[in-house]
Amino acid sequence: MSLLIPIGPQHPALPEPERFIFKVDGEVIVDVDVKIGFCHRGVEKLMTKKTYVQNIYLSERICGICNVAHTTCYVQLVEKALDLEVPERAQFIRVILNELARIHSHLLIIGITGEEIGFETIFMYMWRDREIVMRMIEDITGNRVISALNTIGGVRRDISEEQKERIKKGISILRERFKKYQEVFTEDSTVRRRLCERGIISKSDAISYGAVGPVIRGSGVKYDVRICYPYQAYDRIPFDMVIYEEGDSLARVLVRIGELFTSADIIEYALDHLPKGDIRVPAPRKVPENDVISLVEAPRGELFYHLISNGTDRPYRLKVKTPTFSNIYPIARAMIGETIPEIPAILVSMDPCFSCMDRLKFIDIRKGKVWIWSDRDIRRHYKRR
Amino acid sequence: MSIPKLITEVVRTLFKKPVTRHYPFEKPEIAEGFRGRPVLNIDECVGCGLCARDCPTGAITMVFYSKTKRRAPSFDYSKCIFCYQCIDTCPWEAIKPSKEFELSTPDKETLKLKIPEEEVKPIRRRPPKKKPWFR
Repeated sequence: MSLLIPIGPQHPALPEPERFIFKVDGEVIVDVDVKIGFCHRGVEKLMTKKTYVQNIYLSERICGICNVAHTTCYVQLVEKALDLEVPERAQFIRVILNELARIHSHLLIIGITGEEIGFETIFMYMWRDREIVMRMIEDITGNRVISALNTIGGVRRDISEEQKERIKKGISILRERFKKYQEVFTEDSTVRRRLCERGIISKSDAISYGAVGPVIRGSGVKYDVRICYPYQAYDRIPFDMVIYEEGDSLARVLVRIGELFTSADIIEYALDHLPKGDIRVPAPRKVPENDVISLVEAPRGELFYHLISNGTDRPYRLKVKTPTFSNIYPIARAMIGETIPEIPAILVSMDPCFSCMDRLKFIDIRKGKVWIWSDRDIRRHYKRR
Repeated sequence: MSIPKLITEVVRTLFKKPVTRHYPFEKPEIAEGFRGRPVLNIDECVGCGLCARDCPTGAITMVFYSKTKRRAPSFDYSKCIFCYQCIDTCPWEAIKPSKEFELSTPDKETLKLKIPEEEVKPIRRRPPKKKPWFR
């Protein structure tokens, strides 16, 4: 006889609402049911009511942490629909900002991983060092988190020589810190006991469930949008993908730590090879009839935008698919067979961001089917149960 | 066991100054290009309404002044998200950036800034200072 344990809507790792129903046999989890949709904000509908210029700032607010990835994806999409060529310098600045945002997002979630496994010292140190990145972002954009630097046709602010020096100095300090964290996470026995061989996602599971980002790279699958489908200036910057074969929580954390080093390398290379020229070109307000998609590697994984335009200054339809939505089901699968106290640690190793995900009503991919339910359908379905 | 590695770090930090600042008593360092409150210079404004059109949150609304028979933008800073799109858009450069960020107040109404009737002068016609980025 198994027991049902509902966890959430307040979920145990981060202060965001999500509901998980765990079917347990004693301490061991037998089945997991994920209910998403508590953060549905209707952003996609709102986007069709606002102009393309206003939507830059709305797309930024889908997810506060990966705001740079969201705007990059959005402006890239509109530029594709407009057939607009962005200056080289703007592309490099976008890459630099994307990587700075990646460092700050990864530091945040690695710190929270430390907190969830009861290692609060590392959480405090991570967040202290995150401040260095936040200051760098504030220096070049004017805002700490929501950067508002990308715009249709380029970027809004240039990087000066003094700023270049400041960023390089900050990166060299951070690189020393990253080495220390890598040591802690690879050698410390406390960390290993909580993360090693916990929440394993096999390679075939990761592919069939459609995981993205550090989750799929932690399972040994070579998939990174920056390398597979290069965008902006990534095809002109040499770097390697970070792959770990184990597929457990520790592998996912180590992928993120490895990516901190790659991001630092990319920033330094991009600053050294920053081309001269304009940072912005004028863009028309009206977008001709078109149907385009765009892909970006957000800190959490692959981010997907799909635009259908109809010749006016507002989109006809804009669809967003965020990385957490792809990752929630593989992680739910990984929790089967684990014990209840491991739930937060496994969940946080996926870097969940529910406000990002919940623009969708409902899609079930566990039975191998994908279908969309309206609000009423969900209610009807669960009443019948 | 590698815990001692972090312990040396912990011991070293014990003798350092705290990283956090005592904010109200100690002012933070603000970056050069910090985005604070956007400020309107009404003498430069021609009342075209482009800022109100581009504002993503609707913080800017155009108000009609019957005495001078012109329109001028009014700002609601409680809605402002400091994206500076209005500064980007304004072809006459009438809106200027500032570093002011301490806007918290017990009364929301004080954040609504409407230019008083006597400060609004009739529009001086002149060419724009910069080309618009969005056409």
